[in-house]
Amino acid sequence: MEVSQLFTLVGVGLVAMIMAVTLRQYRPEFALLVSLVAGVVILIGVVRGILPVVEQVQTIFQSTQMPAAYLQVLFKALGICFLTQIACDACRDAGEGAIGAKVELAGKVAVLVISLPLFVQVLTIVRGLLV
Amino acid sequence: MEIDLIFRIAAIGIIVAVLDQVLRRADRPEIATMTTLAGVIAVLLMMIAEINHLFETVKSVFGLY
Repeated sequence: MEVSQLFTLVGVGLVAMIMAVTLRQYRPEFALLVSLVAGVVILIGVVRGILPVVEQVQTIFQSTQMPAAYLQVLFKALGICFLTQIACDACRDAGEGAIGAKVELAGKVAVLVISLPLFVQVLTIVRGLLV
Repeated sequence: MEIDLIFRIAAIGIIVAVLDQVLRRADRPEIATMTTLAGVIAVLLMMIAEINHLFETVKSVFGLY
């Protein structure tokens, strides 16, 4: 992410914060919607900016002999964490801690299910070493 | 651009707040409630496209398909 993109995202965040605070006195639900949309827009900018890092890590990983599936699992888990975080933070901001906790639980289960093949690999290797 | 969306939603919020106050003073609380609900639904529809955009971006960058 270049510095100009960072300036844009910082500006968007500040302006959205001021608008949300102003709206909260009159229509609190609109303040929540403004903060949610601001979070979504900023996150889109962040994910676009992280693309060169992802590609670089993939290039470095290809030089090692490990199967590419391991890195895929890592990146998928990272993506799931991003999405879960935005929903969880929005729920907590709205005062709905219970809903946020359930969404967080869903994210944890999704990461666990995605990394299941990795666990199986580790157990197979350990069993091979012990036998 | 996506940044305009935030300004549009804030503008709709301010308009709905003002209309809400005006309609309540004019002894029409039910129309005020309906206006507020209409504003919320309109903003939700505008937001769904943006959230879909976020999901597509995350899917493509992190290979989540």
